[in-house]
Order: sequence, then C-alpha cells, then structure tokens
Amino acid sequence: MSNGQAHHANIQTQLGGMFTTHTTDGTITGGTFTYNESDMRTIINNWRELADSYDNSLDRAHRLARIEPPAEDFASRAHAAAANRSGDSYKHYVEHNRDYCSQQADLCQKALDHYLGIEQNNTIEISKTAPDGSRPRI
Amino acid sequence: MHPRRPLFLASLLSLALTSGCTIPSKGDPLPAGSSDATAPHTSSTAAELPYAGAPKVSDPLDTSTYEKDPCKSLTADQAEYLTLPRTGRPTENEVLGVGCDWRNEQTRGDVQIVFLVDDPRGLSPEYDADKRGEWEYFEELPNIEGYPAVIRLGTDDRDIGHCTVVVGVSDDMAFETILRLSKANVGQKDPCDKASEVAGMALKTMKEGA
Repeated sequence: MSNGQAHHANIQTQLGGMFTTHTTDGTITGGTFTYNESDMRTIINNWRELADSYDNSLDRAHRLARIEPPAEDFASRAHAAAANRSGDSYKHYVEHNRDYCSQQADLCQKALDHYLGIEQNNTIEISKTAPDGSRPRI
Repeated sequence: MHPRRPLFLASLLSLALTSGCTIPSKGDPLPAGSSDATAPHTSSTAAELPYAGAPKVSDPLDTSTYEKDPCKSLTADQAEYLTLPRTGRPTENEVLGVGCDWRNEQTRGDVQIVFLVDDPRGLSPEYDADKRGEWEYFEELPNIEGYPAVIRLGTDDRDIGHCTVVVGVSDDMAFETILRLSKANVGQKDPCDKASEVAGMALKTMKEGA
C-alpha cells in the first residue's frame, strides 16, 4: 500500500463513513459521527452564520478606529496606544476566526458535494458566466 | 535621606498629575490626530467640523427619521430590486450607531446601513483615521446624490466581495453602507460600486422623506 493509499485509508477510518452512508440522525459508529445530507447542510449553514457573525464584529471593530485619545497628555496618549494595540489584537482574532469558519464551511460544502456527486464550485462558476440580468443584483 | 528627596518630589508630582486626570470637567474631547492639534481640547467640536480634510457638507440632510428607524432607509421595492428581503432587521449590539440589515439567506448577499449617531462628527473621523494610517484602503468618492462619500476598509476584503462606503449627510452625521456580494457575484462585480449604488438609493429615499 503506497503512502497515499495509507493516508486515504486512514482518513476513511477516521471519518468512519461520514459521507458514504445515510444513517439516522445522531448515530455514532466506532467513535466517529455520521451525518446525513440534511445534517451536513445545517452544519455548513452554521459555519457560514458564524463567519457572518465574525464579519459583523469585524465591521464594528473597524469603526472603533474613529475613537481617539481625549487629550494630548501622556496618560491619554498612553492609554489610547494601549487600547489601540488591544483593538488590533481583537481585529486579528476576529478576522482569523472569520476566515477559519469560512474555510470550514467550504470544506464541509466540498465534502457534501463530493458525496452528492455535485461540483458546487463549478455550479457557482457556471452561474457567474450567466447573463448579468439573471444573477442577483448584489 | 537626601537621595530619596527627588524621588519623593517626583512621586508628589506624579500624584498631582494623576489626580488632576480624575477631576471631571465639561467639554468634548478633540481628536489627538486632527490637523488642528493646537486647538484647546475642551472646546466644543461642533464649531470645528469638519476637520482633517473632510469636505464640508453644503446642503445638510435631515436624517433624524432614519436614525430612529434605519430600516426605513431602503424602501421595500428598492430592497427587492437589489435581490434582498423587502424588509430589513434592526442590528443588535451596534457600535457607535444604529443599523439595519437586509440579508438574502439564499444568495448570501447582504447590505447593512448604520447611522453613526453616537459619534456625531460626520466624515471627519474617517479622514482623520486615514491620516493616522488606520485604514487598509481609503478612497474619496465623487459625491453621491450631492453628498461627500468615501470608501474605507479596515481590512481590504474587496476580493471576497466586501466593501463599506461612508456618506456624510451633514458635518456631524454620517452613515455607513456595508455590502457583501452574493457568492455568484464575487469576482464578477465591484462591491464598492454596488455599495455606492445602494448608498445612493438610500439617499434618494431619505431626500424624499426629509
């Protein structure tokens, strides 16, 4: 067995037929979870919702850039600088989590598409070539 | 004991300075990075707007109705035209303002309009933040419906279809149009063009309702 095959077999063992069998909701087999199509769609939607929530937080965090030190004295400037560093860390944290959630949603979508035999990305790409009038306005 | 005297005096001075900071006094804070750094920091900012290079709004628009209910900023027909739900939902836990969200769950296209009512300085802080290098992307736009506007992005996410346009409707009031393109339009349409278009539609609604 080649390394690639071994790796593939390992993944299959870990996933325990996650995407290859329809099962009843909540069935646990050999320490792994199994999901049906509906579950997967819910999971994808939850990841997207989470990503959107982080996105909203990011928009609000950027708005905090409008806030400035109340005066030019040392205490005000030092406090503002510390607050800005904290704000920057928060923005990086939120941005990282947003990207992570989006990636998880995409991974789950790809897995579901693979199971269903649909190439979702291709579907989206094809829809992009559709006449402008047939696509959403925004 | 003598070598400790300077330390003692420094402590007293530090205490005096620190306690001075705790005495409340009336007045609005001025932004430290504003171009008018020599202005007294206890004066009212109302007379000093705009600053930091922000354009003056020559014909202020009364948006008080829409500040109370931002979901009126787009009519049901306008929202439908944009492939959004006909009614928006007020946003929760908004920062510095009040907002409304129109979101299409199917296409994942999304528009939010937020009035910055808790920071009544119009576009000035956006220009000021730009001078401080706060934005990854900042662009002054041609007037939208006669009002000055900018694109300002803390994180430049245009490649994934996100953009924010801020419009100054008066020297002390601005609203944000935050737009996320639907998945099918990412890479196909310019999110900032669409955000400007939506801001223009909202301004038309506000003008008619003013």
